[in-house]
Amino acid sequence: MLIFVNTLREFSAVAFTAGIVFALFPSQGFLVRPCTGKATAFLAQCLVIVLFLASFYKFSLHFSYAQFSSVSILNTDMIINSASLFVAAALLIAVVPVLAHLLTMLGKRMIRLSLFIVLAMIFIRWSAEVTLGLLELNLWDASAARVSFVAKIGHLFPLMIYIEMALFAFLLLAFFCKRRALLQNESVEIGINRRKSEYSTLIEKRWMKSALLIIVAIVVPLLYQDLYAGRAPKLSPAVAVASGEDGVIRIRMDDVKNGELHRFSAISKSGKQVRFFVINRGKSKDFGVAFDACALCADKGYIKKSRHVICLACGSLIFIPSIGRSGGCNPIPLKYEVMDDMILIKPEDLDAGAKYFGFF
Amino acid sequence: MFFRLLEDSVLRNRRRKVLAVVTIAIAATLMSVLAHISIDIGNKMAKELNSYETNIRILPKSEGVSLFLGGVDYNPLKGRFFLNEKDLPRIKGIFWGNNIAGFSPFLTVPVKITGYDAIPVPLVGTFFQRQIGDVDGSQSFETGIRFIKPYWTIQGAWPDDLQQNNALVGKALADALNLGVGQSLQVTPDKGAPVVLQITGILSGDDTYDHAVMVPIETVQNLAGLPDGVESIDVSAMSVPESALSRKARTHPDSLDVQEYDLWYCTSYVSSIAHQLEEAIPNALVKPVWHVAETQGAVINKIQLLMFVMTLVIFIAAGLGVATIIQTSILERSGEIALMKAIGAANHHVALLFVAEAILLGVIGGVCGYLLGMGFSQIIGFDLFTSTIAPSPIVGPVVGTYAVAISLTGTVFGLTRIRRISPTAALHGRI
Amino acid sequence: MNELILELKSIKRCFGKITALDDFHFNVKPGEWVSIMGPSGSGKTTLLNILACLDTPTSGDYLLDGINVASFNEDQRTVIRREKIGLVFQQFHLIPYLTALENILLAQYYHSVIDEDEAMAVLVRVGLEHRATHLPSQLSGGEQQRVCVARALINQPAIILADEPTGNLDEENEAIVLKFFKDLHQQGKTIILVTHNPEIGQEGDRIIYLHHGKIVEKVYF
Repeated sequence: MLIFVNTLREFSAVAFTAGIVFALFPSQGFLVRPCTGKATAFLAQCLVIVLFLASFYKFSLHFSYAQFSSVSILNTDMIINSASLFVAAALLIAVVPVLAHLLTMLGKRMIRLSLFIVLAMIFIRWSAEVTLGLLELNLWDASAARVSFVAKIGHLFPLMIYIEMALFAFLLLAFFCKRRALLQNESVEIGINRRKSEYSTLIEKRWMKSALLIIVAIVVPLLYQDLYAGRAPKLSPAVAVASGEDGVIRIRMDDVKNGELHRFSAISKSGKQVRFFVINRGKSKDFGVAFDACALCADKGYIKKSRHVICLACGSLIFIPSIGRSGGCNPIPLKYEVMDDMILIKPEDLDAGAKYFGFF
Repeated sequence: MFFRLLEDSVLRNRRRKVLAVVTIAIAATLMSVLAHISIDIGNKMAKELNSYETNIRILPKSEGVSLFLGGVDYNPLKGRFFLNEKDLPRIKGIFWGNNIAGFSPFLTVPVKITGYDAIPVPLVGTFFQRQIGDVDGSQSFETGIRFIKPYWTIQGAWPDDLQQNNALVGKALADALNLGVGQSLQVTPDKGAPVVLQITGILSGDDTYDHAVMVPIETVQNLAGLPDGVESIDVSAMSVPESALSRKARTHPDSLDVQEYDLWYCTSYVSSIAHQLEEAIPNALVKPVWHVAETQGAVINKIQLLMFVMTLVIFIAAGLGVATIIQTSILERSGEIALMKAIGAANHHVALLFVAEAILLGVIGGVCGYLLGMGFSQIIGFDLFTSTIAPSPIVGPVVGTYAVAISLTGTVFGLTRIRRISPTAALHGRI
Repeated sequence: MNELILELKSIKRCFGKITALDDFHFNVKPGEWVSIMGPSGSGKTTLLNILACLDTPTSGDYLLDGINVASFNEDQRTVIRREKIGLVFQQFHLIPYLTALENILLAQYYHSVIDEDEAMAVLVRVGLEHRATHLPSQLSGGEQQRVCVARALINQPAIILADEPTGNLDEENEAIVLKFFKDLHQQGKTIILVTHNPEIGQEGDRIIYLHHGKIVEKVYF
């Protein structure tokens, strides 16, 4: 999935530029010969090729076979990842003729608008890349403005494909409206012309369906990756617990004995919000109580995923029976006492952990 | 209309169609066999390497250069260096000690079973389930082979570590000697007095110990005269699969920036756990145990190129076969094609017909080949690795794509003939 | 100029060293019925191939409905052929495994979209509505030729080109088919008909006689 999305991100601008160039110079064919063809058409095609090579270089920087599979023997991951690369490439190649057709049908104004939007994005993106390159090579001084420009564009880059796809969707919609207006204005054809116009409607519908299909096939996985799969796991909400009159926090054992990670938050004397969690380490009531923070990785917290407890900061698995003991990436233990089916946490023990929270 | 034409096209000349399907199916069968075997092992290996629970084996350093010739270990140091049982608590004392889910030491001596003197049997001493104190003795930790081999099934009961005569017998051995739970067993080592053991359980689910007798480690130590002697230790650790970062840390530790260093330091990679174990235990060699990777994976790795070349060659051969069949079929129908062209069919109209047919033939051939290959792969898998091949769902699409690709490639080469058919033929009765 | 539907200007067609047509000039007005006659080897077939856009001339211009198709490539000729030309063959040439109706639908499919009502209407016009679901093998020669005419008409071509349309028919069917051509002519269709039979030739507005790739005689009626 990640390979699919990254490929789309990297090469989408190339596909869009190619589509627009084909719409701009429809009769020039695939490769214009420099001497005979129109000079602008030749230059435009050169731009597409240069853009492709630049994107390819950028892509190859982050490309490694290890992304496909951790094993060199043919396996499911390797096949799915390679296939996703090909599907992404096929989708982008399919963008070119469909976009070119839509733009040709929509006319010069839309072509110019699309060209402007796409070229603007390409320009911004690559000027950021070049700036970064110059900064890295120490050819430019790293002024705050330059660094923040590079950083901002770096953050915006993932959005660019959405802008492009929105443009594509807009063009599709414009084309749809234009055709409907045309059909309504046209008098009813008779004889052979009726069949011919039906045929052209059929063909245009196929173009529109392809465009829609491409948009869906690109946007849905992107959204899935960006909104769901690619997001860092989040902490489960912490239940705020108040201490009793004596300042002691009491948690009923029966509430936390189900083996899940129960996260609580309380306010320390210093006024900091302190998170801790309680987990039943075994079958009987054998509780591990610890701050939701690690001595090494600070207060990112821990989550329970299926039967493992994982440190969010580094992804290390925590051996559940060892929770409550210090060392490694284990959560910092929190002292507690047991009384009458209650877990008691004294205020001074809680306050001792306040220093682990809220560094950043 | 297109489907009406396709229907007729497919149903006509069935003998030739069957020939094409058989050609594709044979190629697909081979692909299916290779894909089933390779992908199954690849998947097992990936699962093993990406697992969050890794088995690590600790051996005395001299074991590292064992010299096996014809099944006999010629390493002269063999049997002289042992790990010390007293070092065991150190395993939990490493930085990632909390990630050690369990460990179990081993010491093995060959013994003869009274009444069955002909068969020397390994007597394996280990921990079944016992409490181990920390290095400083402050906290104790429950461990043993029960915790690191959760997939073992025991008929009867686990031996008690405190009862030195309790024993666990491998299923194959128990069946061969007709031993059952509750029976007793007298074993004799090369030198020393015989010992009577009480069978508490029969072990199944592990080939390694299928022919072994397992007892508490003290029993073997006493028999061998090696108090505290430990031959190897199996450790089960909770780890994070190796990543680009861990590789970078291993090869160029200086190249890590502060953030990367922190992340690496705070991540329980197998390599770092193994390294720490090696530091903690004197004279120890520590390595992760990747069972599939080292056995089946190694075999497949060696023949992978061969397999690739084979599928390529078969692809070309089958593609040529299909191309010939399609060309004959086009030649035979050239009159009809000329007529279609004369009444207005473009080349693509005609070509599409053949392409659709090719896809259909490819799919049929692919499905046949897939099923046949699944059967054959079981036989071959059993023959090669004595294990069944789990059919993974991805093989279907792979074989299907391969079959359709053969069919399409063959057809596309055949299609050049369509262009050469002139519609003028239709005008002059040559149909 | 536009009053000509078809105009051949100094057409030359060579096959290797053999020149089939040489400096050939030929015009047809819309609604005209022209018969082409001549012995075998006179260049009739070559002329018909060029007229039907099945073949390209070696040199010269061919204006069909105002479009110069002489330099068209194969794909372009295919498009112009299905739009402008209806072909009727001597041996009928129907697709053997498709019914009469489907044979007509096929021509529609290659042209644009299929329309069963229109196809049926044209079958009614040739009087074969009751034979619509019959395969060509179940039809008589005359019926097959009528389906063939229906197929040629279905896409409303500018010109109907017929190559010996009655050559393989008995007299009765010849009369029926010929009557269709007369009707079509009366409705203003342009017809070019190649024939050996002088009687059929005389049904047209004029006859041209070919010999060795040249027009040797023009007869106007």
